[in-house]
Amino acid sequence: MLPPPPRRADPRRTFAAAALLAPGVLLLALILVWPFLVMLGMSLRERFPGPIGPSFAKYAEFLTDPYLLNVALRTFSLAATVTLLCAVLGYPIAWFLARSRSRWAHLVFLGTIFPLLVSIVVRTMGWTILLGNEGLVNAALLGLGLVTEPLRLMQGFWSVVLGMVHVLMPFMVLSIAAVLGRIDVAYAEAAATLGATPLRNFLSVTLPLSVQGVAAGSVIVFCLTVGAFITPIWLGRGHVTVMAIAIHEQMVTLVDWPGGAASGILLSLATLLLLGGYGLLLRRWARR
Amino acid sequence: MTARTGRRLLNAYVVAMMVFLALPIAIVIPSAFGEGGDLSFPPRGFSLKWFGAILERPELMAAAANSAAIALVATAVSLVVGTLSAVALRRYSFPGRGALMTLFMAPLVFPAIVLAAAIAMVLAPLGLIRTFQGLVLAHIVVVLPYVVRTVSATLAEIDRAWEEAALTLGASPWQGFRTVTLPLLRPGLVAGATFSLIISFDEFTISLFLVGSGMMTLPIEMYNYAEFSLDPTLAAVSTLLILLTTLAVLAVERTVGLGKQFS
Amino acid sequence: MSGPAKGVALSGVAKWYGKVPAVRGLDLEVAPGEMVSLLGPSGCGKTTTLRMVAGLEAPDAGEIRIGGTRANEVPPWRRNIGMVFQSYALFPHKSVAENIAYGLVMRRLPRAEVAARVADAMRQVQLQGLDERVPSQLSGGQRQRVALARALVTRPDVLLFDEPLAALDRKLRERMQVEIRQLQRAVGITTIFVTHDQDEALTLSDRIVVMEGGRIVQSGTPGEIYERPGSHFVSDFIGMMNALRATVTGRAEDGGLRVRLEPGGRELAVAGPAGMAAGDGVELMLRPEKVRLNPPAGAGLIHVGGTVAHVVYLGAVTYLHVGTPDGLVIAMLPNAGGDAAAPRQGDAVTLGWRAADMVCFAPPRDA
Repeated sequence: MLPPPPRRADPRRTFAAAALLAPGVLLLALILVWPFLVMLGMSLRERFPGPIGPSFAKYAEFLTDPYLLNVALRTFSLAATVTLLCAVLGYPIAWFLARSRSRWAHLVFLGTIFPLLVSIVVRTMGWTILLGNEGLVNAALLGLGLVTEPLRLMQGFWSVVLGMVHVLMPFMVLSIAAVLGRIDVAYAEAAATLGATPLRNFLSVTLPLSVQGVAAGSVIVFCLTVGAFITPIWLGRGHVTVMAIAIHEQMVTLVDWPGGAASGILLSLATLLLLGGYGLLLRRWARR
Repeated sequence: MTARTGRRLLNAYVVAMMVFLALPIAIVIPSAFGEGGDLSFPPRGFSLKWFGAILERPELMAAAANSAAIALVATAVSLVVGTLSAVALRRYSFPGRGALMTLFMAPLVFPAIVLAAAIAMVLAPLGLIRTFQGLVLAHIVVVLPYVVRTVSATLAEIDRAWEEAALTLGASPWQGFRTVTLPLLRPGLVAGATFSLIISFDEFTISLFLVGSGMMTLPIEMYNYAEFSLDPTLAAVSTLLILLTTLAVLAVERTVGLGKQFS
Repeated sequence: MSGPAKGVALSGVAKWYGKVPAVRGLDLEVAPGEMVSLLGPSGCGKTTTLRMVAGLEAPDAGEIRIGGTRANEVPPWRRNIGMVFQSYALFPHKSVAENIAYGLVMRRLPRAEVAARVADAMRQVQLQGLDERVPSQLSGGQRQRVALARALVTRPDVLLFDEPLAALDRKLRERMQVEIRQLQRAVGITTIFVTHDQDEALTLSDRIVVMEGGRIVQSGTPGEIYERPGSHFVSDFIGMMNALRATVTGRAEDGGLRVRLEPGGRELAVAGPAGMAAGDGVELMLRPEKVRLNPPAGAGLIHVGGTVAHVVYLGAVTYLHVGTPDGLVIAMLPNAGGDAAAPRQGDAVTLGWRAADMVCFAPPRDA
């Protein structure tokens, strides 16, 4: 009586989907997947131009070079610091955006996304005006007589952190706010009627439910920090070398394309691994 | 702590963060109107000469024209391609759909410097380095995720029943798309196009290996200029950019509203 | 009408969603001009069946014929159907008039005729003067009417409804049921109406088709379905029922069954399905309105004594939940006079009903 299930989807719909996707997939294959494969191939050469590997010489070089290893470590600590700060500092803003019925909420929303849309060169220059030797902060400190000589606020790890947090905060806030906005307020209200204090309520109900938003925001912020070039080079003034700067050096200054490629592949792999572990950790915590 | 003080603390915090987010941008503007030749703050005097100075910098003007043209072409292409892809990803189910969605979002999280280097390695042998076409191709990849995201967010708001109703009323799938889906998609398209234009215009890292003498983009030209002299000319350019962005954001806000396009 | 009404016929129609069967080999004929309800709980396959008639889903097996012609390969936009969606699916960016005109524009009718037919349709559903409104400015009932007009204005061969009244409040729903039924009769259009609301199906239909688990379990006029449900599922789904457990003790001379009520041990003769043997467990279903309170002795009724456990007052009627030696029996009493004091909790009462009002089924498998 009952015929067996069909083995394949409607061929007409499958064809339509394939036709719609073709241009996009073709573009991405050409300018995303293919370049990555070329880079992988490049990283397996010893020199370029030169014989096609496969050789792991460049990987070995990277992993035994204390300078590059140090740069990698600095890059990931920068990314972790920036991600953590963005999450902690951005969460309350996201909360405000998602929960406040204030008429200012819309203005706060605009204020949050506006920096995202202003050129990164402009924003970085703004920090120079603020933090430079003759910048606003130093002028204020000198004016108040708190210091006698301008402080060197730029060219340090923390000035780069400050710049990156400023640049990437909107991504984190928007990710968290999107998830917070979807959580039914009734959960928190139920917890309150069951006797949870506001703090316990937040820690036991709202925070675990919003972990997805924090996770999504963290992934974006982390990845964008790892790949960032201009903020570290400008606000670090050459004292905060991160992977992006090192890869640029290898490729442009040293013209060592296989070396740059190997660094790039390692950076991507390490990022992927760290994010995988982070995702696992978060999922376990949320299910706790 | 009562709920009331809690709310006040939160409000105060949000105001402080808004200042933090706005300050580095806002501070650029007065610096463009100073008389002195450096970027000290507060600026001394008042002058419009730095805006005039932009005109004497043909390399900045040329780079701005390049960036605008690249942004326009990359946006036009990704708007079409991204809309088609978003429709396929939202409206059809097929094996590998999840993987494809990840692929379309990948440029957003892929370390930009690595992507930039990889694209350069492919474009160099093709003679596309330091060309308009090469930069457009690279920029398409960067803005495509934004277009796909805004369009699919809007598509998610468009009830499938509307499209099905059109079909039962005698509209072919194409007629249905043109008369029902596309008009309803307009806010997403406007927002997607605006973000795409702004992001491409401001893109720095992806262009890094692809530019060179004769084919520069504005952000990189500005950076090079800053390396060589940090004078208020750059602040003037920045002020114009801020003005442009503000106008674009306000225009989108007025026509379609920004709130929906982001969550 | 553009011509004589067309019927719809489904034979052996099946649909799978992945590995889950949604419709399992369905045979259904809807006569020209007939109004048929597909009634069942959510997930019974009624909406999938409707969507296959519309062409929005393709059947994996079987044939769908509209007006005698195979329609399986005909896409929805060439089927000449009208469909009213659950959410109405009114185009939010088009005015009321544009919504109603949509199907006519797609059929490339001359502008003057479009305008005339839209005006006609709006009159028919009493929407005059609302042409320029957009759907968000309409009330629920008005949206319902626009959807109806939009589906009818193209003079479709078949009209399909997918739970269109679910979002309306009860009063409005009842009014729309009557309006839809009147309009359908006036136009004489073949109509399939999907609903999970038994009252709606009873009010609207020439014929009710009850579905469960992707199959048709019973098909008949509202009276047949209500008075002579064919299975435990149908009787339970349509209207409130008493279910008394019993065991078959043998066959009666007239072909009926002799059964013994389980807790009480009372022996009865009832009409029952074939294939029952002594020792089988059965359920005797009895509608509460067939139960009478303190009936006169004799009169050929089954009499059961019991104690009122619970009284539910509903205005027009009162339900008495009475504990008896044979199990819980619910009786529905009309509140006619109001002077005769209704029994209260704890009162001893006698209930009576005709043996012929009981329907005997094998108990549901999971029970």
